Amino acid sequence: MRDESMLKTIFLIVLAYNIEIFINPILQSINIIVPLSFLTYSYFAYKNKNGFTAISAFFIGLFMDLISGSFIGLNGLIYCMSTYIINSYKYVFRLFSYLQISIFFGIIASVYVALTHLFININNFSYVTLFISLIGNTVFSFLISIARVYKPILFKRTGL
Amino acid sequence: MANYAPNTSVFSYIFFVLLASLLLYLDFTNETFSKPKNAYKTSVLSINYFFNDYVLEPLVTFPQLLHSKKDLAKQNKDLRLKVEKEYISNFILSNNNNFFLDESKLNTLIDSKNNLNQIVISKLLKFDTNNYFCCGNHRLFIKPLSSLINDPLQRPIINSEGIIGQTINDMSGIYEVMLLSDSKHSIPIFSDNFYCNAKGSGKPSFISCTYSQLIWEDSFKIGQKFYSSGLGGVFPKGILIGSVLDIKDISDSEKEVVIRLKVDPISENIFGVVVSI
Repeated sequence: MRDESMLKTIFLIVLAYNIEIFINPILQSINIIVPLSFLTYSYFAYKNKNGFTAISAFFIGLFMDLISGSFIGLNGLIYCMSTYIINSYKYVFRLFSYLQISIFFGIIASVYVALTHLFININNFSYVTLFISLIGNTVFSFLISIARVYKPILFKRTGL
Repeated sequence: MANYAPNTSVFSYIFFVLLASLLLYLDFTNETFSKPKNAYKTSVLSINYFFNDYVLEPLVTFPQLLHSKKDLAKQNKDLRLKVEKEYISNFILSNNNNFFLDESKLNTLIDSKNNLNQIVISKLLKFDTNNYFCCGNHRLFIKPLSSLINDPLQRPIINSEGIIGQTINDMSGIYEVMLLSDSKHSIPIFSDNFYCNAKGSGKPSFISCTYSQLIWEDSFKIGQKFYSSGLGGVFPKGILIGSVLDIKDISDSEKEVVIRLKVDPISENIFGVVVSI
């Protein structure tokens, strides 16, 4: 398993953020928020052989803060914490099934949504949205993981 | 021999988590990083504007040039712009549907010779619909089509349906507009003898007023209309803002009136900046 270059990782995260801007207003109607940029980052942090360092997590987070217009430090903080958790469980993940890993990603995506909403949307903080997002993100992660198994050629071609 | 998980040195993570928390605290409480964020937004919007107007549009219209349809395309574009400008002027001129509480208020907005000389027509540059639907940060960015405005801050912004918000930031000719529904926005409104500062709810198209029943004993009806009161000097007086959707009990003595805004800011791409009231 080869590691992706940092530039390619950042490019794909920004691309995911731009897709997220288009899909989330649609998914909002059914109370689902898919933090695609964060999930993309988590995926690369999980896939990277040595794991991301704290400094790279911090600066990618700051960069995301800048382009998303949220408070500076918010993504930096969450990216650092999630990177630590992903790195800590790097070898334990090998014992997990795809479903278990998907649940893990669903949970950290929901925690991300909860933390960001605490700062930028506290007036309309909704546990229903969080719960439905947890299910939505888990299903989404699971679909991506089984797509890697059933459509491997797609991932091989794109180098993912 | 057991493998240790890589890059899990607790100290480096603690350091960066503390650093990020400090930055977050500074930005959240004092908006310390508003200048670099505005500089970034300005540069991105300017590049987008330049790319669209000077690179993308000429490329798109190039085949039309080859087919000698340039004039037709230009005429089409000009007509579309004129129609959108007309919508804005219709808003100013319209006195039907009880839009204005008092018809005499029209005279304060309209100059008899040229009804647009106090409204600067502006074009939408960027609207983050993701933030609009998900979060409390309801902002958009506009650029005047004609001359720049001398004192552009705290100016009401209208579209063909009514008031949508006010300018809060001037980024070298690109104006940031805070919508009425933004969670940090408040607008003084009234209905009959009841006056209040309606705060943005953070939800699209909703604002709300809180009041004490010990002070205001009368009740509100669903559908009751609220108008801008003109207090604070930003918005003109007597313009329909919205109507009562719901009345909620906050405590034994406090109630919240939820008002649905009349205007949908995402319906149009052309806005008017009211320069003089």
